[in-house]
Amino acid sequence: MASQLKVDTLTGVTTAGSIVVTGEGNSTTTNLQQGLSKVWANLNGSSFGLRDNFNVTSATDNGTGDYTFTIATDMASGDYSLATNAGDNEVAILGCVFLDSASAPAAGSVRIRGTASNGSATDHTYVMIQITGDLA
Amino acid sequence: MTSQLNVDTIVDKAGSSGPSLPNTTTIKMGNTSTYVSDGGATTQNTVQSLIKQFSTFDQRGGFVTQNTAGDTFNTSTQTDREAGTVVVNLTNNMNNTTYPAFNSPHYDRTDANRNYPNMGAGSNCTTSSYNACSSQSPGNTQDTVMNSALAGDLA
Repeated sequence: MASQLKVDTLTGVTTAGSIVVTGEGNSTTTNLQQGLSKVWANLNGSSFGLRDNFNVTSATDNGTGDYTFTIATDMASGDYSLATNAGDNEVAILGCVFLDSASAPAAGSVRIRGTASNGSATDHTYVMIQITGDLA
Repeated sequence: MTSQLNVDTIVDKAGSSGPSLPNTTTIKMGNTSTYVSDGGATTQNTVQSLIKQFSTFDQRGGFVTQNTAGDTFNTSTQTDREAGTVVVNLTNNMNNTTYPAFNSPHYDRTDANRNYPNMGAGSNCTTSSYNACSSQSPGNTQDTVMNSALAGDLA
């Protein structure tokens, strides 16, 4: 018989921020909190503006292809894993967005750079980021 | 009235802990449910934090089989649109087209074949499918092994 548990907040008993769930293959368990994405965003780098986001306060346009995302609820540190992607309506622009290595990722923000395939700074129509790691 | 459940392990109704778990691990979670963060200092929405799709597709062969899918989640089909571009079709649709998508093409250790991930034209992103692309330079593409994933809001 199916059952349904209605609850607003999940909290670990032993450790508040640590709950275990059963893996898809039913042979192991994994940590729920660490398996979740903590930040994601879709930014229009051309006309500049956030299309959609989760746990992002704002995005700042620092210049061509140069953006800073401010995180609403901070990460525990800057040692998180960052995934990025770019998209354009112009095939000739094809390029990427990367972590700005000159600006170390911080618990409350991350700065990235958009480039064309020739390495020049570029404002991409679609700039996407996702962060996994530990929340504060 | 808000409610809070304190629990160390979540399994389904018939479940038990340990390596011999039942194969009925279906648990439904409301889309406004929250969880206590890893550091314990805050709470965050659980459903919005979940990855909504992932997939692997071998365009060139050698990883799985040419034009064959590897591991997938919430992916109905994947098709080889053209060199370096895989169309990913979703089983359950997204709520809008403003989701962030990510991909990572394989690199075969040949400088000339160094592929960069890209989503291509935004017009190719719909609530039910998106394009995962890679390119070496404009107009210079090749078949690759494409890994891709979506975050964002499900319908």
